[in-house]
Amino acid sequence: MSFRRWIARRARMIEGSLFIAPWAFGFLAFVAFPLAYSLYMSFHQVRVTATGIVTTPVGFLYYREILFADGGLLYDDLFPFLRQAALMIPIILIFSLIAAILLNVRFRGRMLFRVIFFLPVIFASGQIIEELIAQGEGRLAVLQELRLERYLSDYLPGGWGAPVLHVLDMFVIVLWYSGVQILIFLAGRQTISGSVYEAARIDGADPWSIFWKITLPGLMPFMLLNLIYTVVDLFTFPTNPIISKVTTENYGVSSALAWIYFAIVLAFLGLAVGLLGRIARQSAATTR
Amino acid sequence: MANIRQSIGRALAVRPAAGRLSGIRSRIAAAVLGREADKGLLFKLFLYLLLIDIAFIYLEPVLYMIVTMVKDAGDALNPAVIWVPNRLYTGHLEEAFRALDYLASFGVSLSIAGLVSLLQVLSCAIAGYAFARLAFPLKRAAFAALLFTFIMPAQVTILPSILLFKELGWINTWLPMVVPAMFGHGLKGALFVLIFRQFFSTLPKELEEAGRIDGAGAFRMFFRVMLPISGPAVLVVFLFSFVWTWNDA
Repeated sequence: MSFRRWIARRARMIEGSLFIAPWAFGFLAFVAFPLAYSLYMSFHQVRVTATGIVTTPVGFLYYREILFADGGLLYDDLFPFLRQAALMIPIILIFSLIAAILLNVRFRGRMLFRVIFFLPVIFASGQIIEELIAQGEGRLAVLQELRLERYLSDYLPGGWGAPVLHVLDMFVIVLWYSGVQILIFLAGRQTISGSVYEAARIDGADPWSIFWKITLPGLMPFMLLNLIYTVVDLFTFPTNPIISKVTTENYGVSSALAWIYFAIVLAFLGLAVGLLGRIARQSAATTR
Repeated sequence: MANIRQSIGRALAVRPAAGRLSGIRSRIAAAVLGREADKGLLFKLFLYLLLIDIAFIYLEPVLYMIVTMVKDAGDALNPAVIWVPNRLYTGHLEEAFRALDYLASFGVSLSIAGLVSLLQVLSCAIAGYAFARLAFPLKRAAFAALLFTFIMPAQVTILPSILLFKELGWINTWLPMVVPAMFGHGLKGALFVLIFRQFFSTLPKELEEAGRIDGAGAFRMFFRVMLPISGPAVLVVFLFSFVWTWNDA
């Protein structure tokens, strides 16, 4: 290309680099370095002594121990938790989608309702959630009356009965987890310009078609963002059974556990995102 | 849904003959059913009902907490007292006020949360704009790194981070909370960068092109044009950042 174009392109690259430089520095200092060190520690036995930190290399010992030898450490807690997560994620996403669309309608008191729906984000620190579940505030009183335990254990396959019951027990908390997602969907809903809706109404579309053909496709990027956020949030909540095992006793074991957990989160996330992509492609194909 | 509305409409049928009466009927029909499906009193009623139900489900634990807070020991143990205590007891509040040294703690939390959220809004907006609209070398790799930071559970890096801060001598200060926020990281920093990125990529490109034709560089574009119109995103990020840092501090 011409010399001026080349100079202009370099100038823009430099501008862009200046913008991203603080973030890049932060990444190297606060993420990349600790990450590399954590990986290094997972292959060592780390002891904190009076003089400093003593590391003795042990190779893949901890990995083998966690994955193969001592099944209880990982598997007893992991699979019920994965089933719970698989139940909670669609509930959270669908509920927050509906809530965001409702909250976008113009009606009096809209601000008040938006504040109420945002409250759980303020309260949702680990201690409070634990306390509420312990006091039984997580359940919906209505569901208690139905006495679902027997039906669930009769009609569901073995491993699913307990997770379903657990999710119902903390149904209110599941709704509480949706605060962030509702806000993201709301912000996303407002990026769809009003003129599209006006044009649709002029053409006589009814709200049902408008929802499926305009709102939902327009919210797909935010649906993806919410899905990733929900998965990550569920998996990194402090009361999570596996996270609570990451202690400071032996840094080596904890690091190995954290890395294995990270791999599991990545796998689950890849699955969920792939599923969403497939659903999106199916619905895009059928509307043509 | 459309059929129900049609049958209701037919029930309130408007006969074009008689003057004032049919006018009132059609106006009632228009008010109740609305000229379109999402206006009209019926819809508003349904909406309020649904939202109030959900709001109650949300608020019930909080209200219960508030009511329990003002019960004295007798009321708290009394199974017959659930929502209305016999007397209002402020002893718990007083004790908590003293034990937490509330005023000092409040001041500290407020200043840290405020500072961190302001810093995060600014730094994450800059990074988000760079990812959305600017070109720089290794952009794809940097975006992968961003997603990676977002997905990574904090527990993976928490131990080395503590060691790093101990090396720097920052352990008993407020610096570990504030300094990462200055660079677009910090608590859930990657989420904020992603939110800003999604938001900035929905802003019209024509605006940017017009700015560049008029000779604005990236800095001026950002601070004069993009930032002022990104009100919703700034508000959302500020709220989240404030609340989460408060809970963290």
